[in-house]
Amino acid sequence: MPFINEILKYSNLSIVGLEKNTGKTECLNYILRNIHCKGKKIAVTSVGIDGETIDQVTRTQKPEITLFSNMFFVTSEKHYREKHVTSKIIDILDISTPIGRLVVAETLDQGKVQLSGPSDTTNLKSVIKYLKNLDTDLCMVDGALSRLSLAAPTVTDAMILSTGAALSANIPQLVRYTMYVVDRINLQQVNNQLHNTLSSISSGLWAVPDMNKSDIVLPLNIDSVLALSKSKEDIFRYGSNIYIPGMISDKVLLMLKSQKNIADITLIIKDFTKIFAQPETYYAFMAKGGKIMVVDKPNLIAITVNPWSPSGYLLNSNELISQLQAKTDIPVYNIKA
Amino acid sequence: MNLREAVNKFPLFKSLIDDLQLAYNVSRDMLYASCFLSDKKLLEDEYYNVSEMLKLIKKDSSIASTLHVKLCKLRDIRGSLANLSNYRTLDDIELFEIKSFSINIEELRKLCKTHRIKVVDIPDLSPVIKTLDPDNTSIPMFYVYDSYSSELAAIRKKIKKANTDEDKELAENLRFEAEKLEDEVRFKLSETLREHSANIQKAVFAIANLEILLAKAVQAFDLNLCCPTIDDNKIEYKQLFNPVIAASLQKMSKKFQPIDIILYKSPCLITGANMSGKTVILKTIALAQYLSQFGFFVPAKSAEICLVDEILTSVTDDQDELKGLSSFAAEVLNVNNIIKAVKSKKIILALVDELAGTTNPIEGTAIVNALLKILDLHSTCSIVTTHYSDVDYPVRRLRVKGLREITDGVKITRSNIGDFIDYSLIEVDKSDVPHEALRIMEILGCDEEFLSYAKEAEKDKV
Repeated sequence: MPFINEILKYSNLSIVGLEKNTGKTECLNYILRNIHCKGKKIAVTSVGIDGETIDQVTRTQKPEITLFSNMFFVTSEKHYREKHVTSKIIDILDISTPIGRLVVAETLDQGKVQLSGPSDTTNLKSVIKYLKNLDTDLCMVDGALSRLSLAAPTVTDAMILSTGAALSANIPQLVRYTMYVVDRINLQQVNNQLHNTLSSISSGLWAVPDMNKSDIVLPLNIDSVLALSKSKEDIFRYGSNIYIPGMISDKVLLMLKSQKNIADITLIIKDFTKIFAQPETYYAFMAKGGKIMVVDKPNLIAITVNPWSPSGYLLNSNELISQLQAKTDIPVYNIKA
Repeated sequence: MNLREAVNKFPLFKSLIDDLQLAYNVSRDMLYASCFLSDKKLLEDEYYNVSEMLKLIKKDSSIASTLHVKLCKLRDIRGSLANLSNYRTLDDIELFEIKSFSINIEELRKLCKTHRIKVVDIPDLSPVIKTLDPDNTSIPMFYVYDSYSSELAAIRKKIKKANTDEDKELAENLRFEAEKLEDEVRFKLSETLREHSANIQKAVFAIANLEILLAKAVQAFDLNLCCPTIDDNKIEYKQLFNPVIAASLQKMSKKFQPIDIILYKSPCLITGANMSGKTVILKTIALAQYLSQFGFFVPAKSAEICLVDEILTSVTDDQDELKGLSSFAAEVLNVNNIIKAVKSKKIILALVDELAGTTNPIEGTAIVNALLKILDLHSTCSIVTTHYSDVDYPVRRLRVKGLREITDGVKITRSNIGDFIDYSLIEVDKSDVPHEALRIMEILGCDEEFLSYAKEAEKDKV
C-alpha cells in the first residue's frame, strides 16, 4: 500500500492536480479508502469550488469523494444539501463562498459528498486550524493547480502531485510538463532567517546583498516587475541577489538571462507557483547559470499518475511511471492500478 | 426620521454610533431602523432600561463582556424564520441554525436570570430545543436523528451493512429510501417549529433589544454620559461636552471645557469672538438632542431636554459646494426650511450658525433681526450665532467669555491659544461683540504688515 504510512506522519496534506482529470480526486479517494481503518481522525476540505459530479469543462464523469464513518468534512451550503451521506452539522463558519457559507460536518456512515472550500490562503489556514481544534489527526485539502497559487504550498505540511494523460497523451511530453512542475517545486529554499524576513514582503523588487545576513534587505525602488524595463537605475547595485515576491513572467527571466552577470544572479521568489514562464525560458535561464530560490517550499511526498485521458486514451502506465521515476527521487504511483 | 438617516445627516453622531459594540446583525439593523422619538413615555422607558443596564455594569463590569461573548455566537436566522413562516420545509442547515440559536438564547436567558436583567422579556425556547435535540445532548449539532423515526433507524442500519458487504446497488437504493424518510421527518419538524415561530421571532427581537440597551449603557459608562430628564418648557445642560471632540483633544493631551446652557421656547442669540467655540456649541447641542431622542444618554453632568419633532440646522461647513450652491445660497435654503417648519407648527430645535456671515454687515444684521423675529413670534427653541454687533431685536443674549486676562510672562501661541479662551457662556443685555479678531490673528502669527494695515483701518473707523 504505497505512501499511506508516509502520509500518516503529517497533520495536513494537500493533493494538487496538474490539470483537470489527472486523478486528483481518485488519489484522495484512494487515501480515504486506505486510511479510514487506521483509527485516525480524518478531515477533508477543498480549495474553492470543486467536486462537481460532472466536470464542468470536459463533461466527463468526475468521481465524488467517498467518505467513511466519523470523518469531518467542510463544504459549502449548496454541496452540503446535495450530499449522499448521513452526517451531522457541527458548525457553520463565517466564511462565504459563491455557493454559500462553509458547513463543518461529521459523517455517520459511508457515502459521497462534493467538496468545496475557502478560496484564499487566509481562510484556508483558518479552516485547517478549526479542523485541528476538532482533534483531527490528518486534514486533507483537495486543490487544483489553477487554484494552487492561492493555497497549497505554504499552508499544508505535505503535498501530493497528480499528473496524467489529461495533460498530454504523449508520454515524453507528459513527463516533460510534469518534470517542469517538479523541478520548480524542488527549487532550493532560502535559510530560515531570510525566510522570516522575506515572508512579510509581498510586492516590489528587493536586493539581498548577502544571503547570510537576513536583516539586510534593500528596496530597489521599483514597484513591480512590469516597471523593470523602464528602470534607469542598475538593479544590481547591491549585488546579484534579487527578491521578487510577485509574478515571474518570460520577460523577467529573458531580461535577467541576457545580463552579463547571469552566472552570479540568484533570483529569489515567493514560491514555485509564482513562475508563469514557459519551460523553455525557465530552462534557458538555468542553463546560462542563473539560480532561483524560493521563500516557501512545499514538501512534495509523492506523484500519482492517471494513464486515462478524458478523451478515452489510455497510456502505458508502467512506461509512464518508469520514465517519470527515472527523472526524480519522489516516488511515483499509479493510483488506479 | 430613523437613525440611519440621522447619522448620514450628522457626522458627529455617526462616529458615536459607529463606536457602539454590536455583534449581532439584527441589533445593528434594528438600531438603524429605530425612530427619532418624540413620545415622552417611550423615551422614559428606554432611559429607564438603559439606566438599569448601566447600574448592572457599574456593579460588575465583566457582565458586559460576558454578554458580548454570548451575543457573538448568535446567528442571524431571519432567513430561516421567513422560510418557516412561508410554509417551506426547512433543511438540515436551517434546522441546525435554529437549534444552535435556541441553545444560545437559553444560555442568555439563564444569564439574564442570574443577573436579574429584566429589561427584556426573552421567551422560553426550550420546547424548540427539545424538538431539535431528541437525544438530549444539549450540543449544538444537528442531523435527522435516528430517534425521530424507528423506520429510518432500521434503514440506516441496513445501509451500514450493505456498505460493509460492499453491495453498492443495495446501499444506493436504501439511501434513496432513507432520504425520503428524512424528508418526512424534516417536514414534521418544520410543522412543529412553525407553532413556536412567533416565540423564536420574539426572542430574536428581545435579544437584539438587549444588545442595543447594553451598547447604550456601555457607551454611557465609557463616555460618562447622563440620563436626561424630559421637560416641557426648556432645555438645560450642566457641563455639556462633546465626546467626539473631547476624545480627539485628549489625544493631544488637551481638555474640552464643558459649558452650561439653558434654552427656552424662544430664540437665543450667541455672540463671541472668532475661535470661541460657537459652532462647537451648536453642534454639541444638536448631538445631545439627537442622542436623547433616539434613547441614548447625553454628554453632560445633568440634562433636561424638551422634545422636538425635528432638529434643523444651518451650519456653514455643510458640503453644499457639491450640489453647486454658493455658501450663501445653501444657507438661505437651510434657513428657509427652518421657517417653513416653524410656520407649519412643527415643534423644532433650530440651530443657525453665523447667519448671513458672508454678506455685508448692514444687510446681514437685517437678516439676523428678521429671523429672530420669526423664531420669536413662533416661540421656537433656537440658537442663532452672529458676529454682527448691531443686532437689536430684543431676545435673550449669551456671549462666549473669550480670551482670558493674561498674566505677564505667559506667551500665547498657535498651539496653546485654546487654553486661554474661556468657552463658558454668560448672559448679557446688549450685543457687545468682543473685538478680538485682530488679537487672535496676532497670536496665530499672521503677517505683520498685513496686521498693521488692518489695525490702522480699524482705528480710522473708531
